[in-house]
Amino acid sequence: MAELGLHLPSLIIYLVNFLILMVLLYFIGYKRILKTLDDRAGRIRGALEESERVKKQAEQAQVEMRQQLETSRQGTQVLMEQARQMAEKFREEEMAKARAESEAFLQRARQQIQQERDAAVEELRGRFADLAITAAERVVGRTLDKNAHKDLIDKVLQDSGQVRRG
Amino acid sequence: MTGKRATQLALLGVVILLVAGLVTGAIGAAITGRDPLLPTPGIHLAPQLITGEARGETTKEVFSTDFVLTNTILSSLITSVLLVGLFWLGTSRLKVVPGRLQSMLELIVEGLLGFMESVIGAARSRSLLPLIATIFLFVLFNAWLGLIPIYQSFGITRWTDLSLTELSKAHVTDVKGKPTITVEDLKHVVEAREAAAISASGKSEAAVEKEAHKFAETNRIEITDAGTIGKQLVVDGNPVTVEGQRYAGKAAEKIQEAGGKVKTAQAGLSAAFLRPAGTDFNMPLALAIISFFFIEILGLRALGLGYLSKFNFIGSLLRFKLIDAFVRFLELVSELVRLLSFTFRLFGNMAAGEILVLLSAFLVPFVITDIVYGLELFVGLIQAVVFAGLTIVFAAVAVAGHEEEGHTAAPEHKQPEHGGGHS
Amino acid sequence: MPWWALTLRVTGIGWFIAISIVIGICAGLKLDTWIHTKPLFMLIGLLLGTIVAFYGTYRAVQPIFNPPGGPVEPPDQTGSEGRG
Repeated sequence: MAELGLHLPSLIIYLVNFLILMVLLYFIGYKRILKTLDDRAGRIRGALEESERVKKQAEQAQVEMRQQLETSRQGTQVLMEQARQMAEKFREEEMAKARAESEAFLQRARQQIQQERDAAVEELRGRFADLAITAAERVVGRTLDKNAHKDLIDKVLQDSGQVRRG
Repeated sequence: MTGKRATQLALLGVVILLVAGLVTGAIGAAITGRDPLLPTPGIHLAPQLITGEARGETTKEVFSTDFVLTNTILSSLITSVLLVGLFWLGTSRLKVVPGRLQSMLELIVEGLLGFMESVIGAARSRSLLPLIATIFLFVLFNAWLGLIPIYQSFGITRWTDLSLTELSKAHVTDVKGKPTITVEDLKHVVEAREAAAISASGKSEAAVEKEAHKFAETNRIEITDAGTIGKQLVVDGNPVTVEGQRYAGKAAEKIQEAGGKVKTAQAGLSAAFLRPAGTDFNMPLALAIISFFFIEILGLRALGLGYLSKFNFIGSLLRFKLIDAFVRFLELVSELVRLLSFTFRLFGNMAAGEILVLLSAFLVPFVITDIVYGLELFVGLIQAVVFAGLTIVFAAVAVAGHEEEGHTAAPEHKQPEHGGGHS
Repeated sequence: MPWWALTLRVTGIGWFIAISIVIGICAGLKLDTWIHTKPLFMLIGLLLGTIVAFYGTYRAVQPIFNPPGGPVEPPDQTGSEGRG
């Protein structure tokens, strides 16, 4: 065995060396590294839980938002309905106003026409009276006195007034 | 274009180095019939002493009481200091976001822990981690440190091969032109023979002394070159390998004193100050012993004294269950053989690797040596994995008996029944 | 046990076989030189070493062919080689 190099003092030195090395490495190396790894694993687990929680929160927020959106959509529809109704009402009012205006315009126009016709009739009557007097003068001549003349005119005028009214 | 040019240049460089290796190496020297430019590597299985009186020589005495520092022990101390320093640097300021060193160490520890958990379960992995990780790192760093090119380059100048080569030349070119060596020189050569004879055959010192004087009186000594690795002295027709370079060195000195020519410029190393600890039989043995004890203690802690029942062949013998006894005996023996197979696996690989590197550098330097270096890097890693891995596996086997009885059984940790099941 | 652990264990058989036989022979030779029965104990040692080698091989491959926790999953890739 000595040819192989078996040497008891060496062997003992190696044994001691290895055991000391193992203990040293445990305290300055493996222990700390294991602790770091555990810490990191714990932190990662915490982070995962946190992210899970955040995810849930986000999901809930999304649901809430969707609900809100739904509500607001419904609100909008109501508003739009209202607006539509208002517009309808406005339109109808406007239409009624326009109709009334046109009616009034028509009325005025009609009155104006009436007045003009009246004026025309009056004028015509005046002319007619003159014409009648003239005609009567021609027919009667100077036989008629002044009083008779006047009565005749009045009578004609009265008649013509009836004509006007008739 | 430039890439292609670079590849061509690299290939040319490799070819040039290959040719240079063939020219300078021992193989090329043998082909062309001249002396190799490089000194022959000194190959020893035993570690060499680098302190004390016998520095430069290998450890011979198994039961020596002197404290000696061998090159392999120094190397293992350096490895230990390096590992401690690495972990100290990497973990003294632990950060949540790790630096490069810290993340590398974490990767190693985490990887090993993951491997262990898949074999032996999470709880036991934690307690076994220091052992497994230290074995892994110690074996790996010892192997890889030794592969740093300059690592094994400093050491104690070798006398043996060189001085013997020069001795043979001195033999020829003696001042008087005759191949004679003085009786004084002869005594030193005989001392060398004596040392060799004592280490070889265990004969009594007096008998060797007598024999040596007889040889000295016949005054017929020649020194031959036997192969590239070992030079041999032929004393009176009997080849003698000279191991103790101290004797050969003294002989060379004497020849110089007598007027012979001894050239000492081209010196090799007889003992590097640093030699990878894996090449020292004691280091694998120490690791195997520690691994063995840890496995047995783990088994004992898991199963109580019932663990030992699988080795209790005497009890079976007393109850005349012969086959049962034989199987339990085999179990015990294979436990011990396992210890030695752990030792020899690591030692064999590391020692063979070192010899391979030395020889390839001697025979064909440069390119071939690079390939061998790559191989040895791989072998170092594999051996670290195998040693640490087998320790876990056998620890799992040792605690498995516990779980097969169904206390805390995880199915994949079960192991077939031991001993008694075969009767 | 995962497949790689089983592979590792089988990979380790080589040295186990070699060492058990060599130890058997060496112990036998040692005994022979002590009590001068030259080939007897060496042969016995050889036999014992071979038996131990076979037993170790059997124990190493047993969990592959007869796994306690169901069949072993085939490995994804071949196990590591080398002078293991």
